Amino acid sequence: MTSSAFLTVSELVKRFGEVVAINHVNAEIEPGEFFVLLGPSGCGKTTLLRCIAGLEQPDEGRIVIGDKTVFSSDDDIVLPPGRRNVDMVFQSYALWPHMNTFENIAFGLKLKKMSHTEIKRRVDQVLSDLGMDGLQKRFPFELSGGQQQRVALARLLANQPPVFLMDEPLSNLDARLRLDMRSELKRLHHDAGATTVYVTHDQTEALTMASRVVVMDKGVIQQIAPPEELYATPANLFVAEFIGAPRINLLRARPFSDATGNRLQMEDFSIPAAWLPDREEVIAGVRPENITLHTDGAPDTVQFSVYAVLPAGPEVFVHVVRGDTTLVVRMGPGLKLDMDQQVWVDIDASAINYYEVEGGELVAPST
Amino acid sequence: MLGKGSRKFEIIGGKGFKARLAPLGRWRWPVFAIVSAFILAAGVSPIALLGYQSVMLIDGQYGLSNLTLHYWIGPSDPAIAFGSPGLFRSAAILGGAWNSIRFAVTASFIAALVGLVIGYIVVRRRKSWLSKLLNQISFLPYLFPGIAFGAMYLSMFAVRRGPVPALYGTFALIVLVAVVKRLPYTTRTGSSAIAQIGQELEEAAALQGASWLNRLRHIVIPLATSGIVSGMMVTFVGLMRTLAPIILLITPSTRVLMTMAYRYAEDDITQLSNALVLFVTLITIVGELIVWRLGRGRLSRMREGGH
Repeated sequence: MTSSAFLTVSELVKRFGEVVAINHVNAEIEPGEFFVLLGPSGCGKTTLLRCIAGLEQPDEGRIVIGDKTVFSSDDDIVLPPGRRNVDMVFQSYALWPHMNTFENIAFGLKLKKMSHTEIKRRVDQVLSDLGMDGLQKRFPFELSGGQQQRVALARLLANQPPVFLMDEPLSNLDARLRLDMRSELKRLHHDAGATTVYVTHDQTEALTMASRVVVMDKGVIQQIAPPEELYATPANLFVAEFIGAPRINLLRARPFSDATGNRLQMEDFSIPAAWLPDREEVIAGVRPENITLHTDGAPDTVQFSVYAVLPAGPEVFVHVVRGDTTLVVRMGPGLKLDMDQQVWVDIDASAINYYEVEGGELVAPST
Repeated sequence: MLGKGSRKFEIIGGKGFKARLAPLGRWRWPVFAIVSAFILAAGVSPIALLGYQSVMLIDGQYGLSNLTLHYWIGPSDPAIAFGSPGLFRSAAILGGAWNSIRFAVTASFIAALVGLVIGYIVVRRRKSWLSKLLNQISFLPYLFPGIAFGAMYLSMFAVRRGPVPALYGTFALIVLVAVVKRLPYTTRTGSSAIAQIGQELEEAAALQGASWLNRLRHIVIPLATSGIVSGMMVTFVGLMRTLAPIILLITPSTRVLMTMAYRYAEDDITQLSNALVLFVTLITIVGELIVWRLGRGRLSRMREGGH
């Protein structure tokens, strides 16, 4: 990715006293991308978003939006939020309680000295697009949570900024509404075509909505990747464990080869390997859906016993144990299993990722 | 999360709000009775006594024949009170009343505005040295006795010093002294009014391109109105009765009711002095009612649940 980026963050550092909230962060966001910042609370994702918005002033680094440098510690550039071509939806919605829906949405347009008729046309248009016709005169306290959320969204859309910033906009909605709003937001982003930076701590939200996801931890970017890649090949153990529910299975493994080919020696069993990492010992990561259970033995399967069966509608999570090894398996609902039943585990060798024992970085195949 | 702890007192968030009333049930009338008795004993009866004393021709003689309205509406009579006319006939007193009102309204308005701006800096720039400095300085007037404060201003502004004109004898000086003297209070009401307003409400406006002044005008002041108005009310009441900080600075042209009441008491015309104090109370109550009516803006109606 080179000069085509629309929003560039380089070597950004933000400290709060002793705490480094953002530590040398780099990101290049393409035009029209849905860029999701994901991570546990306190990882710096919201701070990064607020730095882009201009609500927080970084200590070092550079932020370029479009062809405009909005922040640069070297050149002493700090543009105020209003001059950055961005608008934001806040987690709390930040609607002005003394203004009705119309006034809330029209506020920014009035500041831009837009004509009365144009303001009215735009406000009515966005409200009707969001299915909020006729609520112009309502005050925020007269609206439901979902409606308030839409007003906040309408305020952003009416401004037509080239960059949308969203700080956990769905986290205050109930579960059902949140699902509906996800698809609505995705559609909206598609129709508006605006570059979007979206903060969430909800990995499902990130994976379902993003064109690319940034996983952050302790102010440092762990990985930037499209959702599929993030899920299939996490760059390190933090991402591997953070993404995916239930969690990825991690096993200590010693690679070796014998007459049958490449193998991985686990605690008291071995399984075939697709390739051998050039290490004495690694941590092997395998997702629950890449393991299959059989009720009778077959070549290269390993005997485990069922610890617990957790049905979850269309899928079933099965915990199996063998000695000190526990595996979580994701299965379809067809197979009926009992507790303590003996099962044979079949791990998809091609789906295994290897990680360094020290540091937890992904081990790439040496070519 | 960093910096979130200080936000827990925010009341006006981005999601609207409603008032909640707690029904007292069968305690309704007993509670009402106790509160009424207290108000009667502590508030109404002293005023009634004051009123009674203002209609006694000769102070201290309790008898129907001694009652008179002379001190209220009587014309000048050399035999009574060194010829001072009754309150409503005295040009000096009515002029003083006008001065008092002008003084209290102007000073409480300026004080509320100054308090709001200082409060804004104290709350929103919490970590800066300016915030800490302002917070400390605004507390200083609280430590000085009012009379000493007046004396300081008297010597400071008695003569012209460089660019600072000699303000002694001007209306501006007593307003200035009152604003500064009230600073410890107005700064506190100002900062609590600001602290109630969620910071995100201002950030959202900043993102729309609103300058600081625009934010103050369209977001902060409308939302802080009830806080500002109640702060103004307290200041107004306080200033109507204030004496110590201004007594040294008052000249015949800037006389206010309290300084006159003080003088009458000194001259042993207690009745007139009492009538004046009652008059001040009356003006204060009327003033409070007016401010209260004005303060019942959109926001207070919203607080009551949008009726």
